Amino acid sequence: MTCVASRLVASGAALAGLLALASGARAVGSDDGPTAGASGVEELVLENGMRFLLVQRPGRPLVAAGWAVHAGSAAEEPGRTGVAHLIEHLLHGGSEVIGTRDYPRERALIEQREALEDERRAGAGGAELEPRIARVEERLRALRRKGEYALIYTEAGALGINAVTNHDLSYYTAMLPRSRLELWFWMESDRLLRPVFREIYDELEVVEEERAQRILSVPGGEARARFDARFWGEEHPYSWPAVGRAADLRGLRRADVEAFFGRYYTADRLTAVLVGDLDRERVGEWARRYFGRLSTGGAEAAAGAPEQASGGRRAPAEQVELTEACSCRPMVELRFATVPFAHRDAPVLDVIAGLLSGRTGRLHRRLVVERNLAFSASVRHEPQRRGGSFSLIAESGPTSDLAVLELALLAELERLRREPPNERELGKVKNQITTDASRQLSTPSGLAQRLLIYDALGDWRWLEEWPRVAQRVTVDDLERVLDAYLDPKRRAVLRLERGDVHGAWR
Amino acid sequence: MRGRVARATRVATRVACGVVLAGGWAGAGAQGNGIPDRPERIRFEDAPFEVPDPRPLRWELSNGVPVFVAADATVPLFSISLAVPVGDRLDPPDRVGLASLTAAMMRRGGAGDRDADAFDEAADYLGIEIDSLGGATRSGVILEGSSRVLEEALDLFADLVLQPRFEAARVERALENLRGSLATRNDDPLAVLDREWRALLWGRDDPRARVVLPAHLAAIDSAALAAFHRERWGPRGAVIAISGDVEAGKVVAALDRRLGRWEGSPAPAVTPAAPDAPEATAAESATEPAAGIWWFAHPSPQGKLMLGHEGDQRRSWDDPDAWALTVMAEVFGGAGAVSRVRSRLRAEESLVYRVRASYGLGAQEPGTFEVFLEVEPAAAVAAVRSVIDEIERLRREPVPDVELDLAKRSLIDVFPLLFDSPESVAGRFAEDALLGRPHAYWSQYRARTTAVTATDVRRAARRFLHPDRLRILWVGPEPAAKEWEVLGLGPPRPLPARDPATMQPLGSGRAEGS
Repeated sequence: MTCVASRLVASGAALAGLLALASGARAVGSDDGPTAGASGVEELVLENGMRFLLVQRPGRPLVAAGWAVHAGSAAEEPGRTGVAHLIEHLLHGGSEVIGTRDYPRERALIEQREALEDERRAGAGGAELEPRIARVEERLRALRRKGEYALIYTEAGALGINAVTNHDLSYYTAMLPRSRLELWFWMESDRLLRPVFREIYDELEVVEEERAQRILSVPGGEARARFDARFWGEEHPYSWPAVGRAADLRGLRRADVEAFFGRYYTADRLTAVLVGDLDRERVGEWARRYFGRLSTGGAEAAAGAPEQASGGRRAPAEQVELTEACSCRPMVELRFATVPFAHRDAPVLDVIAGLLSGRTGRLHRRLVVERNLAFSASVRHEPQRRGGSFSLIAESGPTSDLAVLELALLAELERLRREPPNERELGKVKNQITTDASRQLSTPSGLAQRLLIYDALGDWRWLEEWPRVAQRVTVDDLERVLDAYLDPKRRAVLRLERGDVHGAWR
Repeated sequence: MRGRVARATRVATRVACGVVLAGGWAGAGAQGNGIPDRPERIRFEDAPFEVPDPRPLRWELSNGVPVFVAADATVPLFSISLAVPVGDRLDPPDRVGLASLTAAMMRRGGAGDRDADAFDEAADYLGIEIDSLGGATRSGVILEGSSRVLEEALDLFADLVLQPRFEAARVERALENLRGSLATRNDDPLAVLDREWRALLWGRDDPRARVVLPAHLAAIDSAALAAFHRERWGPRGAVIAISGDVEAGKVVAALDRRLGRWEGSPAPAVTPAAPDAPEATAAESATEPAAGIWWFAHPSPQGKLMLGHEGDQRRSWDDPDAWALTVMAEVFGGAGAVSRVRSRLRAEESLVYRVRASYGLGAQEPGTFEVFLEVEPAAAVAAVRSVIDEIERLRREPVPDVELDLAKRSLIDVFPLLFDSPESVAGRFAEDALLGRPHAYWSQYRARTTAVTATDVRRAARRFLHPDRLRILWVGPEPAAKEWEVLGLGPPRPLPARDPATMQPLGSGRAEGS
């Protein structure tokens, strides 16, 4: 769920370059884009509605390739959460061709295994049930070619095979030598066309393990998950984590997986991206030949998930305040409900984030350097498909208490109103945005990932639009947006205090 | 990883030809739509990769500093790196860390007529990323930014290289943070393994094994950093790589206006004079026997293990054994599909979590032959035996053709990635200049790799691998002495725990190597 692939090529290049120096990513806003039309994206839409975004990068030996499905955990039904992420795992298992020694026999056994699972869930079957399940699973194992999907890629010299699921989407990426690009078309269309969800019940354990790693074993992870749930409100699909709720995961069945896949993994909800030295004609031909086989979603899919057409504003039903103990550095987070992806106010919020964050930003200057209250201070702005959030976060320094930190953060918000940025300060943030926008385009894999995410969130063109809008932001815009979204009275507060917590390190 | 291409491709070609003879692709695939029924049947056309020509990319500043420029206007961004042959190896023995701190504080302590805050502010105003860092044998400065601000960014870059101010308050804060981090250096078993392994190979006083002590930090201040910078950083031996949205002639002229008159002390040797024969170092530096097993107690359920010996220093870039060594290393434990060590240890699959092997033939100092294992204590001895078997087998038997072919293809397949972006093209050629590596090394790479024979590999194995000099270091729970005896290297010798601050042995029960 974190995007680990983005700096892959960048760091590889740095290593291959003169100095293996890591360059720290700057925390200016969470969304950046290129300057006007700089991305050079060519759009190709197949008859079935699947969109291909093609970007030429002549001379590059590797092509960054990927596709995204425009549905993530927020499309899940309450009680069936975790299924989107589970599918991301299961798609690694292959298809009717890849990952099997004899698919027809495997299919029959999978059905037997499901029937036994019915008995198990119904509490039927008696003492004989588990041995019977074990026997079927053993026969299934004998028919599998475990890891074949990844092996075929690595044998062809592909790198960076990865997949990510968040609230709004899943995406699947790889990098291939340009002469072997057709393999990507074969493999990806194959698993979309005739996937076989193998070892569902084993994979659920892997997923549960991942959930534990991401939430339980991170200090304060559970508290943050509870804060997310309260912040969004239990009706909102962002209230559950993208890995799903533990209780729901345990109840998931093959039918849930197949239903979600059938409903959302349809051509009209897919975007593919290729960035590299492309033979344009062949790529177009392969796209049609391989992915043209996928079908378009039915009427049900067109109706889609219950997406909130409103501005995505969370209903501030209550003042959310959560204070918990944590085996971590004490911290406070002030969070505000803001705007969804590509909203016209999102770039203004990003400029505000830029003013506050970074080594020479207002928060670090005031809280860390001048007042020595905080160990660190940062900002996070996350516009998602169904709503956004803006957070001010401070970790406490040696002498401060959290109440003081919270007041200090609020004071900086207030100071943005009282002492708006002058031309130079605003210019600084805009310059940073210009650089970051270009950086998003600079590596093929980074650009591919960004295009996949933006298109699945709404429209890849935001990549070009966003920095243009940001350059036009004025002091008046800042004031208006501060009033509209960053009203101290509507803040949600998370405080993590130092303390022994059962579960934090479980 | 990237390895088994060779086989896949060969199979694909064979199958493809058969199918074409049988009537062409359209009707051949099981799917009847021009799509092969299996991915192995896709017919790939190999796109030959040409190494870029370095000559048109090479420029020079007035003071002789070579500059390599790979222009590419795809994105309005440029990047510049400068490297000098200065690193940890040049630290005075009583001030370990001096070179690294000097490099790191160049960026953090202000430069030119800007104090630290003003420099930070100026860099952020331009929206550039500018940093400095030091390593074992080289240090450098990197800059990345929008091409709109090239001139202003170059001003900061030149100030940082020529006139760093090492502002005292910033230096003090950095030293304080460093002191704090020394206290936890026994926590991470990998850090312990690395430290003790270097000490075993070379002795604790060797520049390659020394560690920072509080006493060293007490002797370092702003003035010491400034003095080190003045004495060591200079144009001789320096190289520059530039890539991105620039015009080569213009950017070199702009750089020359700022750095062209840079003078400094003569290029220092990167390392203290290297001994002629690697054997000499190993024998002299250690009072330990040449081979053996050592263990360092660490409370982690798995163990970390290092096995190997000191390697060689490259005698020339033309040494045919060096090409054979690269192929040998790929066969033994490369990243590609052929890795004898990896496939051998797959038998102990669930007990060996990670295995990594490398044979570094050092360009500037002897490298090391190392096999790293992360392994359950119960499986460690078996894993070590397998590794030693494989070392001996390479010295004994010629590598079969199929395996040799796969290893060579694997190396050739990943070769283009060394030049996969303008940034790596400029950086690769600049590194050539830094190391004294001829550019022709790259244009010969495929031919020289292809020409390696099984006899060459065995000769390289006999020259570079020395089972009689193997040292083994185990970091983990106490090993069962009896089990380890079967290796014939004697019982595991305990190494003392060390005070994280002073690095002095703790307790009196175990003297080192006793």
